[in-house]
Amino acid sequence: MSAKVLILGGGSGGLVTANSLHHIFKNKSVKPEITLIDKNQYHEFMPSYPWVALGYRDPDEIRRPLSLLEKKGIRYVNAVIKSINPNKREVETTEGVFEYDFLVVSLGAELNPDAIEHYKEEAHHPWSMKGALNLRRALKDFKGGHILIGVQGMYYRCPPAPFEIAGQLDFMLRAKGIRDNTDITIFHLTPGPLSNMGPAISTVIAEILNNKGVKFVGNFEFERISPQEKKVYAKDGRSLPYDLLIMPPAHKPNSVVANSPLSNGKDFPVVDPETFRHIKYSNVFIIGDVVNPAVNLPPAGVVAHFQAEFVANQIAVEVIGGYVGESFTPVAMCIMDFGDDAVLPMCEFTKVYKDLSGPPTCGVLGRGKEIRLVKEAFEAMWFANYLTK
Amino acid sequence: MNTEKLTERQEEALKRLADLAVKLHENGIIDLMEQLSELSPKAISYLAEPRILKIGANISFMLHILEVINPTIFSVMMNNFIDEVSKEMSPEQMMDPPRATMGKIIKYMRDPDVQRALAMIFIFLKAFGASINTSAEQFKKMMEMMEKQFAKMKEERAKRGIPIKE
Repeated sequence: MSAKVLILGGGSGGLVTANSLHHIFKNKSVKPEITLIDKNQYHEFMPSYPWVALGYRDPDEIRRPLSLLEKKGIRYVNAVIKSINPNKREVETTEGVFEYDFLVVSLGAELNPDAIEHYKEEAHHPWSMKGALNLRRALKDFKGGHILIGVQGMYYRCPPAPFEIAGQLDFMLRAKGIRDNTDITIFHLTPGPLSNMGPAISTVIAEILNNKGVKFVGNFEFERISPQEKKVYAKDGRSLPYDLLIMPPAHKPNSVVANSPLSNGKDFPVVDPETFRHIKYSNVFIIGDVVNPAVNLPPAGVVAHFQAEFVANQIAVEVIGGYVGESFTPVAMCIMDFGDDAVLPMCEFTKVYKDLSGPPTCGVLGRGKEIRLVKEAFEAMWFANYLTK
Repeated sequence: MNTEKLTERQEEALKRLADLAVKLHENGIIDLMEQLSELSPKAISYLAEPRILKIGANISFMLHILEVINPTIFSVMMNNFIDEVSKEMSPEQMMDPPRATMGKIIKYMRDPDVQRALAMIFIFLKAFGASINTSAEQFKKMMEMMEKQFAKMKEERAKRGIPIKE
């Protein structure tokens, strides 16, 4: 009987796991049954959400149906996951109960817009398709004033996104002819823009923001939104005005995982950071934003991507009996499109990951508006490889 | 638009494409392309090796230096420099290279061209020293920030019972 691999989540981690397994077993005599479950019918290419907010992309250009996986022999089930029972090796969903031999949990973090008072009425964000479209509407009506972009904590998807959005907005407002009567300010917990990635990246981002007249306010520990005053307050009493507020919603650990025996009453499940196997249930792999903050890795799709390839390799080792495949290296790259400028930074987190012994090693792989082409090419390659029509 | 004509052209194009496909097939190119296409999803993780990324970042920085230097200034200065050096240096001179004695150093120091070159060297030294100072400050700040962040993360990990290697 073939091994049953159940993948929870059709984001970057789940999608890459399913495809990597398909790729490994395509020409093998032994083939596992691969099933991917997601509550959404589409996989969305999240790095392009800001482009949707700015109108450079429409939703259908950055998403494809997960049912395309069926063409590769991967079963796709559109269902909401209700509970995970690793003791019985079962997952309960709205479409029934699924058994597994190997479980890959890549459900991501949950957005929690209710966590901050007045957030839902006052703030916009391109951290989801709906949020991106709402921001697009707000930008259409925007006639100038204070644009305030900031974060409420360090746990949010894609750490460079606020800086990218600021750059793109500057570009768009100049094209619209209202840049002179608009100021753009970013507030963040770090002292400088992406300064937690070190000076090699931070100085480049600071220079770009400076060239664009985007103000950066550092060490700003968010406290509250005051809708009456149209201001955001920091814990130290500082305040910043806004006419348009852009902030990622608070993120929280995935509730299905948090309520399952995998988390054992804690926020995050505990995994072996060398393998991403659950410390107690070794046939359960947990990757991506659902676990990364607990293993000192940034909440970003690129990390989930590399974890997924590594996990598919480990499953192959067990199913085949031996396999030489991908190793895991804790690196992250992202393409930051600032409209008329772009940066491709990279970071290696070896010293941070596992033992917190030192800062990440970071550098810039390229800079210039032509880097946007790399992002467009990557977007095209992503869909062509993983959700082939 | 004449659709019949277009169809004929399409047919012709398809025939040529089919002929080309046969040639590619016979030469094993299609087979190779098929094999290589299997590598494309893997390519990202192979290229994302820290070693490759570091090389990439360093090459990118070297290219950035070339991008920043004004080609007009650079080419004019370098051309003049090469002209002057070639005037001063001859094969005969290379057979008996000049020596800088104390007396000659003093003589050179009185030369306005040497004075300008020395001034430029001191400007570079000043800028180099300032950049060392700025970098030291930046690294110090980063380490302080990481230490604070790591302390919080260690606390979090301890709460969750995740072992930390010290």
